[in-house]
Amino acid sequence: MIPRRVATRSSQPLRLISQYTLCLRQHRSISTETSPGSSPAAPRGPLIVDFEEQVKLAASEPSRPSIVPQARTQVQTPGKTLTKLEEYQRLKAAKHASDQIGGVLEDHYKPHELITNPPSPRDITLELLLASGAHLGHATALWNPGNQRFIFGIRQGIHLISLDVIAAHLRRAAKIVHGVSKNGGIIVFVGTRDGQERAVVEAAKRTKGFHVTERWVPGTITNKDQLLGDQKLRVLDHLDQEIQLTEQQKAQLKKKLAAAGNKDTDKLQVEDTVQLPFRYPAIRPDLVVCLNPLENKTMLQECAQYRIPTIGITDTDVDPTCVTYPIPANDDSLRSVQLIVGVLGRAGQEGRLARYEAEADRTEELERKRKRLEESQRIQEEATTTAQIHKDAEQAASESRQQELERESLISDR
Amino acid sequence: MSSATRNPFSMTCCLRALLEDASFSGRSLRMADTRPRMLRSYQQTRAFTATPRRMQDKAAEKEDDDVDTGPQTITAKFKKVRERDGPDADEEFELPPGARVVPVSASYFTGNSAFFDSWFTLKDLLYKYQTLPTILPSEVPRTAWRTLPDFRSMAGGVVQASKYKKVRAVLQRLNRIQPDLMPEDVKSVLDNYKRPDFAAMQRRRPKIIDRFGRARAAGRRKTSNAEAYLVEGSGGCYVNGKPLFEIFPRLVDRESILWPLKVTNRVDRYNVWASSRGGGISGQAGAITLAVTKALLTHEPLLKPVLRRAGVITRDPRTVERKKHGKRKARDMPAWVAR
Repeated sequence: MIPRRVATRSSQPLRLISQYTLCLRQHRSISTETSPGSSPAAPRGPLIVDFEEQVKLAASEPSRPSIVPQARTQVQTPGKTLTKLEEYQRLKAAKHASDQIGGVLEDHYKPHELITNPPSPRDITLELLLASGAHLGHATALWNPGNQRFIFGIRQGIHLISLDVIAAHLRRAAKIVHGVSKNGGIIVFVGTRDGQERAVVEAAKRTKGFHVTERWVPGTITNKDQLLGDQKLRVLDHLDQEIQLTEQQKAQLKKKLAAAGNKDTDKLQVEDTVQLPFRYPAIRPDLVVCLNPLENKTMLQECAQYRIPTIGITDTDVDPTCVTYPIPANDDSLRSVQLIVGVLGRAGQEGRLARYEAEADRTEELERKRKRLEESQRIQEEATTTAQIHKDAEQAASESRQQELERESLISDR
Repeated sequence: MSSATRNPFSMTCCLRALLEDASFSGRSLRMADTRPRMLRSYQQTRAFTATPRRMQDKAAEKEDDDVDTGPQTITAKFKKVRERDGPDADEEFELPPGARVVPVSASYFTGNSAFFDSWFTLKDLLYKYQTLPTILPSEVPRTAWRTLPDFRSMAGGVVQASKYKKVRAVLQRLNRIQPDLMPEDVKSVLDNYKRPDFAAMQRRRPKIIDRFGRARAAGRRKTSNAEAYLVEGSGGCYVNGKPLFEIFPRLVDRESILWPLKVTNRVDRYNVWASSRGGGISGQAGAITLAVTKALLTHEPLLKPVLRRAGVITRDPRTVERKKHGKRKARDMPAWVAR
């Protein structure tokens, strides 16, 4: 763990006090922000306030007309007791303000940040891996010789994994997750140990993938229609949105349903989106990320049987050939596991966003092509119409000349 | 890990596959015309997987479905079967171009997405509002959560009791948030999980004396159930239609039945008509005592402190302790023999 170092703040106390009062004032204005419809007796405000932002706002616009007058009108009378909400908000504001006083904590490990804001694959450094203890393996008696090429050495009876190997393998795995996510594949994160639940779920949320946090039910892949058949599926496009039916398609579908034997054609309801038929086969994953391969042998076996690539954290006691893309790292420390699954989740998220971007580009390109085609068609049409007009005019002129000639000849004949 | 779980994508396996392919290329060439056509990659990985041969063929066939395969292939057979089933069956569903089929729920692969979805929404709420101040568990107003079968019908899946216990723990924690600070979304979720008939359940049936002047009450002890009617009278006492001494030969039991009346000096002011079922004699006597006490309280609620001091208001919770394995009775160990 990186030691916490405390550096003294070199700013003037006066500035701090002014900041404190600013916070308090700002905070009072927050508490008076009532939602419309609520009674004045029970002031309601946002429960979770981003104070950083509020202070920044206040600093950038010292006299915001919307909030400051409100704060003046709602001056607290000394005898009035505060409601619980006001009390809580004041407490938070005071805490926030006084947190700035004294020293500054240098960068240190905040356990929740690996879950709420994990590093991206670009941010993987050997220092980060070392700090999270990803290099610590098992006692040398427990090792699996398959890990020979990943091992750096022995220290205090345990194997240490090479940090550069971890970083390389983790980057490779991140690239794979990125690619699968970019192509719209189905990624399943499996972490069945205690304490891994939240990291797994968050990673799955980032990639819009799937998670298994408790026992892997044997047969989820090999016997999928029995086990997963009754769960809902939907049809998505590249932007992860349900595909809408056009009016014409709907009418067609209604007709089909009516032909299939539904009597009340007026009462027929057709969904706006594409629906899958009844008994549509269940889905298999396209990539499985396994955090504890040792406890999920069945799952890995099923994946191997159906040629589903797997990514797994292989500690020094795990056979690295049990997964397709091993990440040799410590799978017993929650911190290292959270780091790895967080990085993979971020990679998936980036892949998903890349897919959206590519899709937007593609639609733009299509639109541009369509417009170009339209333009050329329009020009062609115009040309043809003008040519036609010219032709008509010429013809009319020649006809009239002909008639004139005829008339002249008639006159001359007489 | 055993060779059955070895992954066909791993490096060693790929190497071995290449070697095998090189050494048996002549044979596989000879056999090419006899086997159904399939992708190269599947042929390579075939030698060392646990997949049954039939399944592999199927997977391979799925891959080159669009390629023109011979008439005896498995897909063709399936098509025939489908055609035989009826005209509707062969009309295949076609996905729009660029579409993919994706499960709705993120917990699809757990097989019980209904439960896990509700579980994770609760957990998310908990993480979101974890820092809000809470009140003591004793200060929380009494709430009853949905029962397990109720929850099962709500979540729509198979839920184990242990899992619902965890859910209830999270609900309790959310319910402990300071009521003034309780966010709206938490409130609505908690309302979803509260038992709908809880208010009605809390309302007790009023104790009444019926038109004949009887007060009815029930009592229990051990495995006995009793029901007693108390009427103002001259001190008669009948149990199951018989006088007291016929049913209870022991003096202690008879005294215990009349004890609530005796301590309040009302033995000769009420008649007792009791019936009891189940258990033994002393259990029945205790059950009748409780019933008589409750009925007496209906007549005269002010007697409660006196009866409390006499120790007849509380239901005796002691029952037979279950027998455990490895013991002869509840606690009796089999004799230990020195060897």
